[in-house]
Amino acid sequence: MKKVYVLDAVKIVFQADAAAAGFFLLLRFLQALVPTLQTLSVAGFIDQVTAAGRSGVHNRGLLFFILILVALVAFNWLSKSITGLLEQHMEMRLRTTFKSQLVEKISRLNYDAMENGRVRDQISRVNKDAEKRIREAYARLLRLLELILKAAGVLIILFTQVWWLAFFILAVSVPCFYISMKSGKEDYDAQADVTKVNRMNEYYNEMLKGREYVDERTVFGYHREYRERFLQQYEEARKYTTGIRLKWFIKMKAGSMAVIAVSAAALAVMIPLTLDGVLSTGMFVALMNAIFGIVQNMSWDLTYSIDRVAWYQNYFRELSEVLSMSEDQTITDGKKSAESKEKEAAVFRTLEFRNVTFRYPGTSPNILKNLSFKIDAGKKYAFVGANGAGKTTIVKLINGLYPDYEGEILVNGEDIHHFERGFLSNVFQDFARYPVSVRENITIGRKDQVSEEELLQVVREVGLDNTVERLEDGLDTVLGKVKEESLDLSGGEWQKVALARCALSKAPVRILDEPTSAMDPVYENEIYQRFQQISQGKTVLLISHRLASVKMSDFIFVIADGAVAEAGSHWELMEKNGLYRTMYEEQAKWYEKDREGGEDIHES
Amino acid sequence: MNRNFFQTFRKAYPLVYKPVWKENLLLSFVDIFHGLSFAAVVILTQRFFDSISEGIAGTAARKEVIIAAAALIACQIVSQLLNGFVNFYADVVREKGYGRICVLLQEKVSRLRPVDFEKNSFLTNLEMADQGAKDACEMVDTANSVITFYVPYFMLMGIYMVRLDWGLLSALLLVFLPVLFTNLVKMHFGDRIERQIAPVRREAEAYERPLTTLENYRETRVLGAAWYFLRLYREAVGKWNQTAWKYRKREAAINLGLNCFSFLAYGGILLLLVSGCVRGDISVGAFAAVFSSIDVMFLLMEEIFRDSLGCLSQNMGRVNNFLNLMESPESRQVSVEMKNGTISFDDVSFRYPEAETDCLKHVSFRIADGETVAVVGENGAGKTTLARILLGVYPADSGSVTIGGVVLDEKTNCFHSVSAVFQKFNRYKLSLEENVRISDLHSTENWEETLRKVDSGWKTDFQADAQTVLSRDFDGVDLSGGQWQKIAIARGIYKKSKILLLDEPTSAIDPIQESRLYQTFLRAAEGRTCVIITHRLGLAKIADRVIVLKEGKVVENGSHKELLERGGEYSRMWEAQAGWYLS
Repeated sequence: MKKVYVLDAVKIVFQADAAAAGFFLLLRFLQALVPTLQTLSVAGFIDQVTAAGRSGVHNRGLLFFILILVALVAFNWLSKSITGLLEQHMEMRLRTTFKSQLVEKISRLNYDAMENGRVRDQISRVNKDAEKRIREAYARLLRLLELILKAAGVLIILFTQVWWLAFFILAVSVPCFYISMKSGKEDYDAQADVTKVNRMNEYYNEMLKGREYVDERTVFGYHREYRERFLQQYEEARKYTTGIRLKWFIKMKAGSMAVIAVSAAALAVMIPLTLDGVLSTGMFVALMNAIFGIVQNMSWDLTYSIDRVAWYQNYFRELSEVLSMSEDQTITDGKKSAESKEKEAAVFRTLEFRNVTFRYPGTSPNILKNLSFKIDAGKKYAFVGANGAGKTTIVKLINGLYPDYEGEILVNGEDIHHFERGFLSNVFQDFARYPVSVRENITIGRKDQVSEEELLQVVREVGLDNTVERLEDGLDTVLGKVKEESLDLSGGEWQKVALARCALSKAPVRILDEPTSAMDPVYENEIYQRFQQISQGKTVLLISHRLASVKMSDFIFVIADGAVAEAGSHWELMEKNGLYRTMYEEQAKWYEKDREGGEDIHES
Repeated sequence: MNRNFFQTFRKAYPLVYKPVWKENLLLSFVDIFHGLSFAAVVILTQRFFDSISEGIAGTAARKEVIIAAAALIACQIVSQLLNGFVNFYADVVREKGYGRICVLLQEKVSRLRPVDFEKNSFLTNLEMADQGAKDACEMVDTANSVITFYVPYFMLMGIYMVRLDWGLLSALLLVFLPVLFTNLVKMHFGDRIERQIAPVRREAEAYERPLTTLENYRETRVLGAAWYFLRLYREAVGKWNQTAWKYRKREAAINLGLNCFSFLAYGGILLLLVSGCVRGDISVGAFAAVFSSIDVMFLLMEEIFRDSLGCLSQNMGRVNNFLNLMESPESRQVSVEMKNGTISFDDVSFRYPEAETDCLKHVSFRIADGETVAVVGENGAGKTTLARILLGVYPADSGSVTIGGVVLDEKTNCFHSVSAVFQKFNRYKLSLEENVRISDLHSTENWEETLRKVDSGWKTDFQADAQTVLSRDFDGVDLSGGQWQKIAIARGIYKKSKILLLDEPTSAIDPIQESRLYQTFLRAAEGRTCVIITHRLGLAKIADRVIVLKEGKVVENGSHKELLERGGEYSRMWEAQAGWYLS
């Protein structure tokens, strides 16, 4: 993907909506001509009035100029509402073309892009209101063009009157323009320094006011100290940005001072010429008004426009970075994967890790170290181990979320990269809560391929039938808080929806990732039981650190420090007298009836 | 509480004005001249143009023309400088004021009743308060500049135009009326149009989220559901566009009508000027000067109404949220030092605001100084609520709580004498040292020693030193859930206290380390009263006594052994959990 620059906004807008963009350009161009024409007609009008004042007769010319003035004012006001509508039209078209493509692109990115906070933030910055950004960048560029045209118009009139003065003004303004263009970029770079302090302060503010901090804030009473720190940092950041803004204002006002100085010089030249009758009164007055009008434009519009364009330049830089991020090649569209799922289901025999070594992109420690194990179809497996041992990473690799690792992952003896993910079905600890109906949440786009009986069967199996009965629209109740009529389920009910989603899947391999740690152990055990029930006859992978939940598995892999430390059935491992047994006894000891109190805890 | 505009304004104005009143006064003072200078430019432009006409006619000397030109240039310079200063300084004042308001708000929040954080209405106020404070600053800013900039400008322009020609007074009216009318109509329709479009927009955004945010990204990916949500998203965008286009067209038609109206007014002014000029009532210079300032007049009038009506319509609600928060009732502010760590609950009941049933029902128990007690029960039994009441974070609705011999009432709190490891402990994006010491910032105790008690090898374990920020957001490191929990435990122990409360302190820690930590708890409990809340009954075993909660009531109270023998709720729970480990 080639890089996009702010000027590409023009291309993107024209690709999306050529008619509106072209019409918009035309109107903007005409609007830019208005001040020049106005200057000319005011000059004509005043000259006519002065002439009439002398001769005492009004002629047709006067009326002509008045009509032109009125026409210009009419065009100015009426074209405003049309450009507004055109902007809306461009934005809509951009939404269906550009924005949709961007969303699709983001949905296909390599998974690690999303897990990297910095990249994630960048994606969200680029994606948020992208269609509006493009449209604004286009409008902002045209605004800049308009300002230049306005100034050029005045210069051209001046050229026809006193040609060398026009050249003089041009010679002075172009460097000024260039300087302000350049410093716009510098400002942007300086701004970046202060964002970290600002983010920090936002965080302090959150600590001092947020709901999730209320307990510790109250009991530990640290608010005074952090409030002081907040104010101190706030002032620091404020003074810094004030400094930047001061520069900005000085630059801006220096610009208008320069224009005033040029105007003064022009005045000094034009006054004698006018008094000598070389320049007509009307032309003099109109030119002076136009030049002073530019003083206004220079002070705000130009500086602001240049700054915005510099800002958009940065937006487009980030946009092209996102557009050039690599995509996950294994993603297919819905139809194809639905077809091949059946094929996969029929042929799954083994899943094997061979000497897999893995570290997360951009980090140094290896999470998996030379890990090898083999899974056979139809059996129940468990992965146990301490926090950070690499259990969840294994799940991520099996699911193909991280395609780059050393060693081999094989399905039926073939590289896993050749397979679609249809043979897997997962229940994650942070299961998804989609803002669609219960039915859609369970079927996920396969509504037509799933019979009603099948669906109801699954709903019963996971124990969701009572909930569904309670809901007004039953299975078709929209969940989440998107639509007015939608409502939200409790955490436990959502968990059952996630289980149902998995239960409906025809995938031969099922994975249950460790449920959240804050869960009541009795309830957690229930989930493991339920999951086992709905997965009869499938290959099952359980991830846990609570050993009791998984001891019924056919085969247990004890993961320690990124490798398989022990493997075997519960009984085999207990006999082995190794790490598993230590862990198991550590947990079991708490429930032994014959021992009392805490004194003997440390003996084992 | 809902206030009308004037009530809100009267309340918010002094609040925002006071902290930076000196700066505000200076700004207002300069702004008056700023406003006047804008009008003065128009007057001097006319003078200059008149003098040049006279110069041509031969009635004025060259010198007079030059002086008029110099005066105009000087006035332009002054006006631009004032403009630069005011615009620059207004931001300074507003930001300075906003910082003070933030601190004021933070201070207020620290005194609010923690239980209110469970109320939806309160949370709305809290959520909107920041923006509301900002809006309040803006409101004061707008009000001030209307008085000090716009009013002097329009007054001087008015006087000037009336002196030129009485008829021009209607020109001012012709600026005022269409702008007022346009803004009123836009405010009325704009709101409605946005409300019509908002639901379809939200729908599209909801379908976009599983595709572009982390929240559901992984599951969407492994389910291969992206195509499905893309389809939904595209459909929703289509619907959004359709609705938007319908209303945008209507909006454009309204705008066209309004602009016609403005055009007529503008044209009216133009004709007034032209006819005055042609008839010779006003000079050519006056015509040119006033004509060139019509745009500015429209612009400034537009600013007045847009800003002040903006305040009136959208921002008022948020300013109201801000004021509501500033006036919310406060909680226990008097800290009392406890003599010892005895705890006594007498018939304590508690209900969350907006809840339908009591969370705790007539709870009574006593804990002696230095005792270690476990509170057990299933999810939703009320354990964490009990903890909050015990710590004095929430007040009991009825019954009384006595800590260290002091009855907690509406005024007193016991925060100096208690410490806790919360179930939902905070993960501060601060340095490691601060993360531990935050529980007691004035303590001179060695915090590394405390952390070592929890995890002897923390330095290699965390791969962090004292000053490492524990968040990637601030160029630091991310810790795992278990590592965070150890920090939370160290934090709770670090604070010197008579009472230590541990709420599910090992939920994120794996079993092997869990056992070691129990030792740490026992040591930390030495010399203080220790309450451990847990649903792992293994942990309850190390306590001197166990209190069993069920559906908000104390159902059992006794030692582990006693309760097992009793064969009630506790033994039932015990059997269930122990059963997993039986062969």
